[in-house]
Amino acid sequence: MKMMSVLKTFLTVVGLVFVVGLRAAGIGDYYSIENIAMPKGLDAQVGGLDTMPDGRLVACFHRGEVYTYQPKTGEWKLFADGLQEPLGIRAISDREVVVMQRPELTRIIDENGDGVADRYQTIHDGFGMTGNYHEFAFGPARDAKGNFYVGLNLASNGASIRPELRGEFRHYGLDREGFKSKSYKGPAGRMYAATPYRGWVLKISLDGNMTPFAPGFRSPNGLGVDLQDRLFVTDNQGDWLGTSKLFHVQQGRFYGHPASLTWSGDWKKGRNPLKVAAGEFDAMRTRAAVLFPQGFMANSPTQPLPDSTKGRFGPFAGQLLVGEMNRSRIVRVMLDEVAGELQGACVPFYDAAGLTRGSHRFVFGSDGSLWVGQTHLSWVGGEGVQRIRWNGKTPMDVQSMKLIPGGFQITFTKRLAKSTHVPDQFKFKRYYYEYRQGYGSPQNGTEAIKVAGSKRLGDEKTMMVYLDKMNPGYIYQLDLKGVEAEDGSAVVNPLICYTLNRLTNGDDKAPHLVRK
Amino acid sequence: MCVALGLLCFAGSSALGQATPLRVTINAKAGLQYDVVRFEAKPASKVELKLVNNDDMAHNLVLTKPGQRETVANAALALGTEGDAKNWVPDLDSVLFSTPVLKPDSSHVLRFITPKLPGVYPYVCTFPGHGLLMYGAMYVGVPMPPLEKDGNVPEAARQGKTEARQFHAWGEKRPLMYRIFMPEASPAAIAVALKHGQNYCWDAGQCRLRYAWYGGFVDPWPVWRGNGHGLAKVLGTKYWESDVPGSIKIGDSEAEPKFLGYRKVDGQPEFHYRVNGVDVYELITPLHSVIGIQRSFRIPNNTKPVVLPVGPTGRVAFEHSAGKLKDGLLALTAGEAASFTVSIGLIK
Repeated sequence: MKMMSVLKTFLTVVGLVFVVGLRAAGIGDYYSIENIAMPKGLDAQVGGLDTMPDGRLVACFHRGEVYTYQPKTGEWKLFADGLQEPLGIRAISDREVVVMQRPELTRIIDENGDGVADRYQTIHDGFGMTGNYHEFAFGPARDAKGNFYVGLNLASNGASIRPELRGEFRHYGLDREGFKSKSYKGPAGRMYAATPYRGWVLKISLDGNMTPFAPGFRSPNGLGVDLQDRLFVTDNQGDWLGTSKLFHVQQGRFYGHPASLTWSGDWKKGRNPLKVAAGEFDAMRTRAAVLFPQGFMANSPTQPLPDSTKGRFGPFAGQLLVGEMNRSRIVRVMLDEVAGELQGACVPFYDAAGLTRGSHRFVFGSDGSLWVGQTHLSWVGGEGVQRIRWNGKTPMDVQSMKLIPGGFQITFTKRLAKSTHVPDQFKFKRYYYEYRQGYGSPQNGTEAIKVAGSKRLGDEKTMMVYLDKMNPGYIYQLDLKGVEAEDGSAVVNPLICYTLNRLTNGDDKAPHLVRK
Repeated sequence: MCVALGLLCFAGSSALGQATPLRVTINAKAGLQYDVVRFEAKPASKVELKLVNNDDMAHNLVLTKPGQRETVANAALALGTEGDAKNWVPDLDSVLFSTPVLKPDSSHVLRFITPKLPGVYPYVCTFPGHGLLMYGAMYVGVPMPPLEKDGNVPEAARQGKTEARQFHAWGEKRPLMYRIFMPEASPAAIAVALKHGQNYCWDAGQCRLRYAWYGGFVDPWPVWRGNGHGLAKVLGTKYWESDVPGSIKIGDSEAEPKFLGYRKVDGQPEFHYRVNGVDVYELITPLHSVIGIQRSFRIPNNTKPVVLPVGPTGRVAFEHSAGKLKDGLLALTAGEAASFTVSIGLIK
């Protein structure tokens, strides 16, 4: 009997430790989240979020409203209305915002200073519209020089085009009559660009000068400029995208979805990209800096936002946060410049812990808190606005992951436990997603990769890990379950996926990405 | 005369003195509607009908003999300049009882005895143009059919549209504009609800007015319920639709117009666009005494002749402050075009 009692006590203690241990691995122990009360009667699906210089938040919503929010008083005030599916907003001053809505980039101005907009000035509406529902217009991101970048969705063959269009019509497979036929879907292509600059990122100055910046996008929902003034764009898994992606976008490059090439000067008029071998496009394209594996990392990534808080939001200053529609998650990206190009890793940052699904738009407040706005449209997601604050405690997580010859240099936010044993606790595998016309791609070539050796650096936070196979064109997935900090805290987000496009010597040959 | 008829009924009824009157309150609402589109009453019984005008324009309520609604409404229209003095109530035997014309935010109680003869007695606002939409029926001693099958109430009420869905935090308001997918327009369409139940669709893709309607605004739900697939539905009666394509023409150039946005003037957009290098401003406002809209153009700093497609002009009350009208095109000199108006009224 006595023995049983001791055993029971022992089990209880073990159980407690176990529970505490689990709780310690939650992001909610390091960050708090607040739900912001929204105006009653508003469909609070957030299309865009920014802060004004005076500290007010400004948000645009699904049914065309723009509201300002005074964080000090919790008051929302209607600033503008009547917009068509606005999907991004940038405050220019306390009285002016620039909004990307379906038909145009618009500057909205409160001229008399009463807090309500009077003037809606079209900055640029020179792109086409077929009336197809999938022709969303995203952005604007803004660079240090004040230029705006917007992303124009392709049309979906889930619907045809409308009788009246805006802009020139051009399609490689169908004429306008053909689009009226019941069998338009096949020849249209799953995603199509029947009017100008669909599938492009455009650069637009405040006074309306437009530069077609880069083609190759499918559904570029997220546009953001990082602290080094580099433009990043997310795109969604589908045809030509084996999995969702984050691109570092540079002028004149092609990012992989060929429908947009219809509107490129280099593309022969009438040439049908649906009938061109993938290898030709593969040779033209710039691969994504970071791939988000479908199903467990991100299915529909949204806005990339650099952590500009200089440490007031935790240990990841300067890194990109990226929203994800399908689950209660914000992803974090750790970029790595290798042989002159950006590639890098993604890792969940904020999971569950009160976060609504559908995190779509983000902005940091001047106090270093993160404002998050959600949406869903007809897909998975949520609605409303939330505010996330760091509580000053450092989570045990991977701070950076950099490619080195033969392996990776992995730095943690805290000193590693003395007992850390890399061959057992750093589990690597690799796989790839095909570049192909079909919708998505399965994981191919999955194999476990053995750790060949490791070395801990003197800071006790950094581990050099050498692997027995390092080749370009793979995602290297690292599972750190069981790794602990010196203080006993477990790694909060143990799953990290590094997109290895090229080796340190510049070798980026990856013929396996295109099926012969 | 109405009063006389009422008294006659009263005199002929014996038990009426003691009965509590049937009290009915009918609100006149924005969008040319009564909130109560039908009610039941016993023959030869007392009724106290209170009309409350919650709208921003004038309304009355006239009860007529069965089947006489349209006749009475049309006769009211024909009163023309005499209408105001007569509260827009024509001298017809088919008129039973009537309220005066009520200004916004006022009310009037109409006390009367219902007719002895069972039947469906219409009521209608006879203010010019309103009768097309703004009516209902008093069922005296006859059963009411299901609402959706009741031909004596307006179509919108039959379809259950009297209770407008709240789409925004502010409830109902006019003026109101939506940039939204609209039927019979390019994908860059704009729908505007003006006061007095007036509505129009202006095409930002082509810089031109596409059509005008009266009654309710639009049902945006087919677009807003999901991903944007669908068209907003016009909730009213279209009375004018452009049949001459193209925007305003300035000089000889066939240059495409360039949309530049709009400024809100009392909540109504004044569109700004550029044609052949010349700035054009167009503000559309509701007409006051009749169903219709006025388009006010400003084309300053222009030296070239101007041609504005305005057709069709035949089946509406079309007026223009300047220029020469021919085949649906209004030709103006640069001087005339600096500031001019055209109006499209439903009643010819």
